[in-house]
Amino acid sequence: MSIGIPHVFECDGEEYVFFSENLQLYKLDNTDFKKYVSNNVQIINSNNNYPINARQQQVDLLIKKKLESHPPPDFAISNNGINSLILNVAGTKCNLNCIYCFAFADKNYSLPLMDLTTAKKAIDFLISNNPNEEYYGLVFFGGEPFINHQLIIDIAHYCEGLEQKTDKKFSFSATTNGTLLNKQLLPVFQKKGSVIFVSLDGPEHIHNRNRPYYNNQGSFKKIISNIELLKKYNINYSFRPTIAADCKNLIEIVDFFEKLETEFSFEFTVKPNFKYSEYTEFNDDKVNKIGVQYSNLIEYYFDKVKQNEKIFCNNILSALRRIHFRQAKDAACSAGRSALTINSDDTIYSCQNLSTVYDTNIGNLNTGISKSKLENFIAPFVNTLESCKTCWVKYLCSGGCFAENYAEHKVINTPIKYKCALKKIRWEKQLILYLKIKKNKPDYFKDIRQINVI
Amino acid sequence: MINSEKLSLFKVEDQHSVGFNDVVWQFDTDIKLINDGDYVNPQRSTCTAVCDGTIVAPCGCVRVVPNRSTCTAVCDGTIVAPCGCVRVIPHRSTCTAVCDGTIVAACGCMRVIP
Repeated sequence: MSIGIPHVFECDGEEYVFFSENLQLYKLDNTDFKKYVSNNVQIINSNNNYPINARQQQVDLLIKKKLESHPPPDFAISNNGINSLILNVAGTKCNLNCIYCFAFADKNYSLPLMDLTTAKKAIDFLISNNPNEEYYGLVFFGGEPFINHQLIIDIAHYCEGLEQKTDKKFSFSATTNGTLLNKQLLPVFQKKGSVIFVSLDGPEHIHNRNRPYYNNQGSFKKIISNIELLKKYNINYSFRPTIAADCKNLIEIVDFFEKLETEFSFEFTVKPNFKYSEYTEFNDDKVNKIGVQYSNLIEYYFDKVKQNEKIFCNNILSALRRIHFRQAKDAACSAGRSALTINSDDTIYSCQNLSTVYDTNIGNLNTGISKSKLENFIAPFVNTLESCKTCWVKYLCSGGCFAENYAEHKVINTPIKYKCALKKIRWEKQLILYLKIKKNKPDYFKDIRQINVI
Repeated sequence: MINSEKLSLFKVEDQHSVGFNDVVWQFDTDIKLINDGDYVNPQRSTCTAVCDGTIVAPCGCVRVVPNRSTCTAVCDGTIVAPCGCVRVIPHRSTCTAVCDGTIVAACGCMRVIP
């Protein structure tokens, strides 16, 4: 295992180094080690024209040997079995007018609600093409999926019938804006293994700015009241806030969710909506401002750890776990390998984030999947992305979202400049948080797997 | 053995050494791995209830857990064990970092998705 690209950074006035290939993290307080890091690692690995003296050459080899004495990083393994379908049951229909909605990526591609014929065809397609799977996951997506709540209920009945006739089992999930929950629909998600993700962006003034109704009224109050319904029906749920590029107070947002004591994971806006790019599009200034806020975020969570407070933010917990266990991902996702997205017009996509762009379809339910189209839109491995190969954060970022790349560049393998900058900032800050906790409260990581279990 | 010829390059008192070319070499200062989590955790490796099979997120992210052929429920952010244990895997819809995190079952079985 190569050591890869070293990333040197500071934490509390001391220098540390993180290596891209083995995900190892060291304090940089040894003269020989500093020299080793400053040398061209690639030249060392290739033993090619090593431009340093014999002593340092020997020392470098010893250090390399020392680093390699630790176990290699834990890599994800890819699978080729499709056992999950994302059903765009609502097409592009939604009752909200969110400022960052990627459903508007293709102005000319407007989708109607899905009907039961297409839904059944999709489920049958899933089973017939992947007959060895026993468990299948159906994800209701949109638009706002619960606009088409009767279809979801009908799909659940159809799956129930299949479960009775075969050995197949199903579970359901949905990503919803949380405004359209009702008593008829919710029992669907009481099924074992099911979950609802609610898109709530934070405190009322932030959420309502980002996610208004078409009449510009805010949706916050309705969602909060519906959360009580989720609790009443004992539905598994978590929050999925989206952070706009012009976010001025990230702490305010995460503190809001921490006080709700419900798990949440945030992400930054994807391809900016052409209508509201001033709120959603990143530039150098906005990236720098997010960077400052992320520094504050790290201090916020360091305080929580020091005070033995439970953390509900899965971005932070996940990052700490991945750093601690040196967990590498060589692709950001496996879209097209294990899950497909189905639109109401029978078209098939590798990823739900591409499903609003017709030209990215990889086939349809009637003629099947085109292998050549699939190859164009399957999630790429990070080492196939030229600009990522030599990046220190590659196995943490894993190449980023290829659908976002496509939205920005019309190709999947060219990362977005500002998203790369954000990823590097976030991971460096998260490394700093890890170091602070490791130094001040090392026992925290003894229980890291037990933390934050729902 | 310790290579005495090269020993002068390093201070011997710290006894931090590595084996290389059948020789034990010593460093003047230890280079200590900080993120030393042991991901081959016995608690995880003995897990049979929850982590059977393939875990797939709605975005298509996937994780195959080796030696788990009886594959249990795979769905959007949730894993279900044959025993009926259910755990939500948060951060699961619009893709990035989908497979981050740890799955922990009610029974205590767990699996990290790198």
